[in-house]
Amino acid sequence: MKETAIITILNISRAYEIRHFQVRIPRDTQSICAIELTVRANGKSLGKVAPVENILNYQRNPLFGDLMLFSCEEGNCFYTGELHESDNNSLMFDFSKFEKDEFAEWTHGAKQEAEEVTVDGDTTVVMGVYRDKTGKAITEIRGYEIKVIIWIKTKD
Amino acid sequence: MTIELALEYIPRRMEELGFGNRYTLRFRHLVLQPSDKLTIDAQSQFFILVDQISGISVESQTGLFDLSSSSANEMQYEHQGIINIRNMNGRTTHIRFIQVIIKHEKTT
Repeated sequence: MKETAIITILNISRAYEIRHFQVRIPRDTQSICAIELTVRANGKSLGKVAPVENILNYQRNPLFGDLMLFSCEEGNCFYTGELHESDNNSLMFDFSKFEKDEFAEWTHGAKQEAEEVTVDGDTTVVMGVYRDKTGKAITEIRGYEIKVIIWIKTKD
Repeated sequence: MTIELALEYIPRRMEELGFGNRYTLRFRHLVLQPSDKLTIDAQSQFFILVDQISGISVESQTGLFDLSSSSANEMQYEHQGIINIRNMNGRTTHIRFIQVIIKHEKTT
């Protein structure tokens, strides 16, 4: 069994935008095994706080939007996920990063984790609906790019 | 979507989702007063919109139907989950759906 990733890129530039999209699944797909989401703002990051502020205080992670994926078989709606750019609390109590605004794991949307799903490969198309939740803040970040990564299992 | 198309579409869609013919249909004709808002709990149900009316917004987890909206790149006629219907007209407006209710599977 071989694992392959299908990447779909969406560019969101309008407040409260609702984007429908479809992803073709290859014929030899056995199953869809995981979903991964990443987001990158075109301009300034949305609500990313400096490490000095979040070392002791819990910070809210600003929400970019939510995504739903539907299959064309019994699974129907098989994935719902919220999209956050980075985890503002990943550096809590980590005094080694004090007063440094540097790249670290789980910041800047650099590292993501795939979420496992089990969907039969019979579905020829996966349909998705993405809803923007940034609202007016979208002008500040000058739009953003989302990558929807669908991991599939195929025969060798 | 016309009623004819909906009646052609529903059996195929239910077959695709594995429900076969385990469903019942209801025709729903909703009447909304000016600025009326209505929330329908349609978990495990499908609401197929069979009208194309301006000034009405139908929003659910599957998408949006609002002819005046510029935020969506596609209009959705098949709705599931929590459905929010809003009448943005200054007059009473009628909207029609075909409701597909999935029957429970018999357990022995």
